[in-house]
Amino acid sequence: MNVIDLLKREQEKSEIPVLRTGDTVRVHVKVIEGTRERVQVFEGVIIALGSRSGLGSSFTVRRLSHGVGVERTFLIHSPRIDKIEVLRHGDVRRAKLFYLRDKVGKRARIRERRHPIGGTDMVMRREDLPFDVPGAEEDVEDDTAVAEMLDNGELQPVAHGEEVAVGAAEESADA
Amino acid sequence: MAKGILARKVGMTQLFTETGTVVPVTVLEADSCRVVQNKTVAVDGYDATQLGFGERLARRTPKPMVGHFKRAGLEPQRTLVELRDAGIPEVGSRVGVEIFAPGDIVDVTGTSQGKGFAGTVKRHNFSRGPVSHGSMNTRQPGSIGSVDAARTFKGIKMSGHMGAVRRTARHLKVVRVDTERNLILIKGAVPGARNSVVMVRDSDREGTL
Repeated sequence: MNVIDLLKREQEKSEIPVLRTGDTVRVHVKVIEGTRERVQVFEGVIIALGSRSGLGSSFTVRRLSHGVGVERTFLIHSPRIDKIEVLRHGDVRRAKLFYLRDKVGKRARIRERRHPIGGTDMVMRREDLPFDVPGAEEDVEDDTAVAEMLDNGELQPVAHGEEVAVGAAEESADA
Repeated sequence: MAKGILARKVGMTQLFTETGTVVPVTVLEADSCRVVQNKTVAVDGYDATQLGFGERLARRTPKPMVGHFKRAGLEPQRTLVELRDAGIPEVGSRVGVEIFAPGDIVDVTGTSQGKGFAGTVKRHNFSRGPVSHGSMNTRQPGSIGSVDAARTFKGIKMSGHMGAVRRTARHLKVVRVDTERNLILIKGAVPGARNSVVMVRDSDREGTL
């Protein structure tokens, strides 16, 4: 594995939830306020997935805040993102839900997907690399084995922590 | 005193900072930089340090060159470059990436990517003409002078060979130094194609920009 790929891998999170457009998510973002660091939650519907693989992968979340539509795009692997919770899977037929921008109230609803594709809540897992690698370039066998493991990108179903009621009150929403 | 090292351009990628911003970086690998010779005023007429980089088979190297490296106690290397005002490091010693630290401001010199015989649009940023409605001057150079002069003046911008010349990108910031893997990560782009050899020196413009 070349150096560039290694540098990218090192920065990627080892575990990220499987996200689909239409899903309702809670994104826990670390915010620095003066000297204090706290976690802010942004809850809304994923209306677009950016690049889906690698360090630059991103997604856009839309929510209504005081009657105004707000959209934020997050980089999945950003160190500012603490956690991503999937609350609800939406049943949608489009990759980008930009039409939601023109809809309000009942028309902006998204049906819930009863039987999520690929089972229930899932998490993308990646075994972490042994990163003391200058020697690994010589050790060809090991190197390919590791690369293969990564390529397969093990997909393991993992039950999510607690079930959160849809539309639950946002505790520490943006001030 | 000047610091300098020869390195191989590995490529570009991005790094997340702790604040979540993304920094574009060029990855340089400097594993085999050695001091080959110290030139002196007495012998050579000027002071300089000669650095070598890369590997080269002894049987593929001219005999006098093999001898030159042998004198320093080294195997033949691919590239030789001189660095002025670098003190008198021990001949044969290794120059490692640890001479730089994150936050250092450096200049990077290399051979830019060759573009071949390039037209005026690419080479001199001329505007192109219309592409449709029967236009036949989409990438034409336009006028190269007046009829009155009866000749074309020297220095008129025209098509020609572009790139593959020595270029220095100045005032770049070192973002990270990885001594284990012999890597220097520099913010922004540096001249040259992947795998080309570049020279990294501390910047002569530090503090002036």
